[in-house]
Amino acid sequence: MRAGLLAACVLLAACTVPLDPPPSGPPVRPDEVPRSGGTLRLGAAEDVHTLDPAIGYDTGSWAFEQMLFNTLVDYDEGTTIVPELAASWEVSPDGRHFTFTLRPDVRFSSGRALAAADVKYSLERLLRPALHSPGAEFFAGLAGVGDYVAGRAPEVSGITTPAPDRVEFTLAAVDPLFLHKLAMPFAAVVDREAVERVGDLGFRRQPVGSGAFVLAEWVEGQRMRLARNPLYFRSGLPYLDGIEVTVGLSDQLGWFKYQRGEIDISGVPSAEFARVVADARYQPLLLERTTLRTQYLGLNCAMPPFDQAAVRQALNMAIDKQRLLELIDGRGVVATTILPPDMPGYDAATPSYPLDPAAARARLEAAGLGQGFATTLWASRDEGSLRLAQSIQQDLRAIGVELALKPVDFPALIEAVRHPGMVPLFLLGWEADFPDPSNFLIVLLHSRSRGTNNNAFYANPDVDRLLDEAEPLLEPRRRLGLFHDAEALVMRDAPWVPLFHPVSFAVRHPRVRNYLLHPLRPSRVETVWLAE
Amino acid sequence: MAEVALRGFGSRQRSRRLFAAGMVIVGGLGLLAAAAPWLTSYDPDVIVVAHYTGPLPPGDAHPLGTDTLGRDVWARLAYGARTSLFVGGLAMTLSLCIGVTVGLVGGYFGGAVDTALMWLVDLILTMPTLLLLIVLAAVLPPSLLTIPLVIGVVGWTTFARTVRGEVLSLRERDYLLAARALGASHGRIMFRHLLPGVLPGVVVLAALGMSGAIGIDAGLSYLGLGVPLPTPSWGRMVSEVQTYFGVAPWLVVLPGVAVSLAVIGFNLVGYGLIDLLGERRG
Amino acid sequence: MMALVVYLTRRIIRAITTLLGTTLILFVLVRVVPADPAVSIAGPKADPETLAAIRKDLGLDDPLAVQYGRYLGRLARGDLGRSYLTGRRVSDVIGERLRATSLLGLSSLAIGFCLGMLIGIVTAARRGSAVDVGVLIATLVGLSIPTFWLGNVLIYLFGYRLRWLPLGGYGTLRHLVLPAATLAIVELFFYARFVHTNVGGTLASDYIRTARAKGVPPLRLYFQHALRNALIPIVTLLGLDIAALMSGVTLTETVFNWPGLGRLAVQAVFQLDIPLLAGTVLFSAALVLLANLVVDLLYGVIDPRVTYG
Repeated sequence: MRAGLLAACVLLAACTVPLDPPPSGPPVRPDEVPRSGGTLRLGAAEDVHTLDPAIGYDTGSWAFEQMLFNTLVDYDEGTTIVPELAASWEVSPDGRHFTFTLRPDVRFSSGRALAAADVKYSLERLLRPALHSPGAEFFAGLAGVGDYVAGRAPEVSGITTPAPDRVEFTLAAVDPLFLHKLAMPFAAVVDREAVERVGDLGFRRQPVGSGAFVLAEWVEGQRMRLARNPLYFRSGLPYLDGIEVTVGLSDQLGWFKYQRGEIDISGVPSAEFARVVADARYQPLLLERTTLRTQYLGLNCAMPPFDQAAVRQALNMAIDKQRLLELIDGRGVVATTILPPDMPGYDAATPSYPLDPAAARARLEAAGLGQGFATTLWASRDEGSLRLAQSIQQDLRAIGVELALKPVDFPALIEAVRHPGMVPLFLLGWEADFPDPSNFLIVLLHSRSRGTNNNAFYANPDVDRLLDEAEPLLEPRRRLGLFHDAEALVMRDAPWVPLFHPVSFAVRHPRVRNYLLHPLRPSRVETVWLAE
Repeated sequence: MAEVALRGFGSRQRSRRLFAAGMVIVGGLGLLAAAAPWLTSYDPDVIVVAHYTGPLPPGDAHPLGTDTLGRDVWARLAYGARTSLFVGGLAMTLSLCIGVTVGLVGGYFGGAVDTALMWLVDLILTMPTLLLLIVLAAVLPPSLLTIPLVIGVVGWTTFARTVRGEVLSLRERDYLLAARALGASHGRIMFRHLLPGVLPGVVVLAALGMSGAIGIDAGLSYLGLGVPLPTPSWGRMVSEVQTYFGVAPWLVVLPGVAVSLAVIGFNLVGYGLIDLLGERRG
Repeated sequence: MMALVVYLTRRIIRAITTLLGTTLILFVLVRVVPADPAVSIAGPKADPETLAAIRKDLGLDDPLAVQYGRYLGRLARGDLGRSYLTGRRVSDVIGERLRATSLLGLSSLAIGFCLGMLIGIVTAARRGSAVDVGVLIATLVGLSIPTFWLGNVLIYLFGYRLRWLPLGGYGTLRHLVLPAATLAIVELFFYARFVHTNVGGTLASDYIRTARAKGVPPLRLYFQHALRNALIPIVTLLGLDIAALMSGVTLTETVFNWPGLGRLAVQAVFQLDIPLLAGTVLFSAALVLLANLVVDLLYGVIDPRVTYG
């Protein structure tokens, strides 16, 4: 019987289908010019749970918020700040006063002209305690925020509008990253009238902004449609008539649809990755970008036994990161530090932990846990994350730690890790919001970020002190030097096991032009056009 | 609701043949589960490839290849039989114990007790099983014990109704009245005298219950709610490899075939038994 | 007529009490969940005073019986609460999904039922032959194959390789074909087998032999005479099937990306969105109860004897 089974399997193995060619379409010609028209078709695994820029803090929400709203400044194709809603700006010599002059021709999609008062309104809304915005902390450095949040003042004194086209910011302390923070979707300008009409809760699904697109339709669980905003201030843009997003596509269905030419952009499933990358027909359609991202295993320092540094260090020495990299088809590099390689201030020589299960066991014994213990790892329930989780499970079993796995949907995961005492171990990634170490070290590891993004609930006064000192510094060498010292301390304390820094891959339909993967943001579709 | 006659395959001879076929399948499954450690040298949970480069096709070292994590597929299938039989068996046993007891008590005592118990049966029956299981899975920590517990607690209704029906028809028999007159307790009458009478029906339902429990477990595992990772589970094996259709079709086909075979086997046994043990009212 | 009304009233009362029981079960389960609703609503940075205020607002400090009463009151008004994740009213979300699930469920039921009956009749006519056994085995296999596996295979074959049908999704009749077919295949066996054995029995009776001798064409024989007797238990079978259908629908919706209640429930579990989950399950239970009530009504009309029971 076993021989029969084997024969059947060899037969099945022979049924492996060769890689289908990509969908056919117009090849890139050197003399092409952008043309207007067409609908870009995208796919998504699940609905975003909000389109309100004050609330959304994940890649999915940001992708759409970028289409619907504008910020004062933005990034070009790289990490340089360029004007957006602001035509120009000035910074005072002491670095604490910013004056922005707005473009005169911006309107909301509702028709109303965008003025300085709208900018002030949007940021004050962001800071309102009732909204629980995860982005509020980035603007806590504005003067007068404390009084506003406590209810002692009706407005933020640090934001003033001396003229309908001028906004002035006053910071309580110097912040070299203020411009970068204004480029985050949190600082997007929202239409006050729309918010007041539908309420904060309603605004999540009926957003009104000044961006290149407007929300035309959202049928939950099925699709989302965006249409060109005819009042968009950049004339001639967007090229696209609209964007159509099919929701609920698994990796499987999404890839099938891409190969059949039904969607324009797709990730490459692990099953096909090796073949696709090696195939000449897919070469011109492949999109690749090294991101500023670190995937890590977070250890909750407030939950025993992870409150002991020795235990955390043991975990660091037990996990086979090379195998993890193999499981993601080699799309990335092994991580030995918190910061990713392209981040200013990255130092490959930062002391880290070698793979040494025997030493890991020794550390556990020294901590009095030689007999091992059991705990739970929370991970996003996509197949990729679960495979990584199972590999980690095996590594930890070898040192006596029994790991139970809890798969949850990604939005639920990022909610759950904020609750103290709920999640002992979690598998997450962090993508830099701006090209500065503070975006990793302060946002994720400063004690004041516990409850927002310091999901490891890590608190080290020495680290805090270094970070506080570095934060307002403008001079790069000293700034980066202090951040580096802080990182070294953090690595010693080991609240994380940094796993790898992924490289993003995507494939496009041959007709898509100008769709680029950005190092810091979801792709901008404003300048995307479709060839015939 | 009225009662429906459970029918088998029609003719005794045909039933005997199909029953035998079912037993062969079930027996093979049991053998596979029991002998798993001897049939493969690999541990189903352990990644055995030195470097992962994708699932390996069937070959010398691995008779059915390796899966998307580098684990031996034959080992996972074989030990997966253990998981299926364990979960299915435990769930079915639980359903059986609860259901038979409820059926005996309700049918024997009748009246208010019976009405109350049948109302409980209705309650469970109207809750869509899978959805109820999903809620329970959300609330309870998933473990190798809670899944069969949950399936078992939800699936006892068929046993209860069948047994109750049989008890109702057996209740007035002479030998029972005699036993009562001689002073036998209610419990003794139910379990010593009535139980053997309902046993054939229960055996049929046990076989069918196994097939149902295995199927439900596979469905739950597919949705991601079954036994915890990395315990091999056929349903989970299907959901793990959905994108590998073209690259590694055997990975997708084999676990599905395994579940189908197990369910068919127990169904054949159950429906075959119906004719062999005589017609029952369900 | 009077007996029918009494019968129906009794069934309605029973249905209501069953529904109440369901709400009780769900209420208990929901309270057992470890996540604190106040924190889910207020966010993790809220201070203890805010949390206490929210808890008081929601009435979480009141005795369980009072909370249950309030819960029932809200249910009576159609308020199923709000989703933790999106803040939308659960009743709105369910309303959006209802049509998809009904469409899938009813069409699979119809196909399975009609095809099953047809197969049952055909095999009954050829009782004992190889075709008979073959078809019976085939339907048994169809019953045993896991829906999710079959669904995946069908998508791959018909959606991707042959390109005859769409790759999952919802919108046109073509989108319905594969999911309905997948579910119907599982349904077939029960109806086919049932009709087969029952019709077969009646066929052998003298009555039929006599009718045949009189020259009544065979097809009319089957439909008019044989089937009518079998109708009562078939209707009962339908009633029992509806709850099982709901479970099958859940799996099928997940595989085919069908935007229905089943997929909603699965998503709600992994999003830890308890109000949405509880609301969806309660609604599904109510649907099943309603369907069964309709079946009972049909039953009472077809066989008046039952109303005296």
